[in-house]
Amino acid sequence: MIQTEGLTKRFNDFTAVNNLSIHVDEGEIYGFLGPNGAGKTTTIMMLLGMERPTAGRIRLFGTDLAQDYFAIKRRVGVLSEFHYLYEDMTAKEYLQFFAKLYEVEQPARKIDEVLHRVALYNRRNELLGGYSKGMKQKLSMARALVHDPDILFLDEPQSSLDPYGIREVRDIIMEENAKGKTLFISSHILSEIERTCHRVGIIHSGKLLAEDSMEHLKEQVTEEIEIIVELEDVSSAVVSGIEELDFVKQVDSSSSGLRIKADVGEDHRAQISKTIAETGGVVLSMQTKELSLEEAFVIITEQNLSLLTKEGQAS
Amino acid sequence: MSKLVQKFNTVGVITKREIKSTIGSLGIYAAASLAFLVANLFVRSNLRGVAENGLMVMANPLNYPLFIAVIIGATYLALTSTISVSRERDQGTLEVLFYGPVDSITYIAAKFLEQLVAFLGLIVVYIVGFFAISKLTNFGLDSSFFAMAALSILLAASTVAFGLLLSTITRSARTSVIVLLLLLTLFLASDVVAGVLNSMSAKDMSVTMVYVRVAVDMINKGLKWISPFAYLNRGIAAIGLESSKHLLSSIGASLLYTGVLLSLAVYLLNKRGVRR
Repeated sequence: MIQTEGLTKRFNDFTAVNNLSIHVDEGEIYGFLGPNGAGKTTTIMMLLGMERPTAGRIRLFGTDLAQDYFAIKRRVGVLSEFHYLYEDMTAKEYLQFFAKLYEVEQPARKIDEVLHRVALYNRRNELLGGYSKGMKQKLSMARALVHDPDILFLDEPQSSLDPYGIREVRDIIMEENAKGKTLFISSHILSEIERTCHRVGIIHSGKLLAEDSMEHLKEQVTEEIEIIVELEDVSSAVVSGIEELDFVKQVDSSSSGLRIKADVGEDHRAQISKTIAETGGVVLSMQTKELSLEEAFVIITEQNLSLLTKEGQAS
Repeated sequence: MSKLVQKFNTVGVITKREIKSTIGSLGIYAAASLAFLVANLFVRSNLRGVAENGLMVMANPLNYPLFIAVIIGATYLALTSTISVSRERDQGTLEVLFYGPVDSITYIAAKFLEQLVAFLGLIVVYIVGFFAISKLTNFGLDSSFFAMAALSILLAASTVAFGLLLSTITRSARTSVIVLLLLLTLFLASDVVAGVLNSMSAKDMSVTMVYVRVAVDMINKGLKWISPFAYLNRGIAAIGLESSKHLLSSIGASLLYTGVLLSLAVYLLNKRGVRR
């Protein structure tokens, strides 16, 4: 659905995007992550045909964007990071304008539908100049949806929203995906990316550092797992019994239980539970603490930071 | 749906929005009012001449007031077209527009058409207004008046193309206006200085001044190919001469000028991009 090969963008001596090759399948929600200035927005702008790549190829729907610009643009919806609107229009007029531009069939019905979805139907006749930042963001989302696009590019879709708004946008993302739509999401709210995306790509200094499913990415960077065990009573026999297990790296005990650091790979909970029982302990609860996407993101970017710095100095 | 039909739709939708916006703004009404006010000063002066002398010396007394009204209308267009792209880029709405099925060609075409339609509206108002003045004053309207009105559409096209080009070059609306005012001042100053120097007798001038006069004259001639207003002057001169050859060549030059400037505007918009 979205494919880039060797995508590169240079601004004079600065390389914003460096040999980027990504592939997003139909019906996938792809999270595009990176710190500020990593090249995310430049990449999205190139994908939309608004920045010309210095090198490389872009294909949307299997076609070069330049080959069929107008037809492709009609199948793409965009929510940008900043919400620039015609402030002399009402929400309804604004969406009518874009519905005409995209030649939407039954525009009135579609406009009402998207206004309801972003919870702005009751404010549809107000001038956009009076809209709050969150409302502008919601209307931009409505604009991105009004022509029922097959691909949605969402750049920071939840940045200005309150918790209700964040949930509304999350629901829209899931609903669109359930309809088979492809979503390309760039966001700093990693918990939302973790909740919604099937795969993520991590970009830093214009380079793609990692691209995989959430689980695989975490596995790649997880060196040890942490298992937290709540015990009825903590005895030295239980602690030493756990310490003797092959996969255990470290055990920290407290009055309420144990915090066990172990090798990754297998599910050790059964073995731990058995050992505690054999040494006279009683398990009240046990949970494995998983690496969050945020932690994985930090590890991946930090791991590659020194490498990129060296490359930068060499060039 | 063919690409061409899609492009026409884009141009049509943007043009309609822009026209609606123009109709809803005060600028065009202010320009039309100012044009009539100034034109009427000239009409009054002619009427006073008739009252004092009992004789109308000029063959077409309403042509010059129309010329003034056209220049005011065209200056308004130059201003609005100069800020049209840069203001939208400044506000970020240009970027949003280009997320959709809009490219540089369709965008510039829409902006051009909108301005031209606005001018056509002005011309219709001018013709109705001058027709009323003609009836009230008995000053006649002949074919040269209507030829000038028709020719002014070419001036409008040249002026809008000039403004759009400036608008794509500059980043902000304020810079666009400053650049326009500087250029208009340059055109006017060059014309005035060249006129003054050319009116002086070479006998009374030093050698240095003669060289200055030649240099200023050459610069002025060069600027006349850049200034959109010079194209109307050529057309009006051709009407005055009643020379079809001159008229056709001035029309051709205006069309070529407009085409070149619009192509440059599209090229520069592509090159500079639509982002803030």
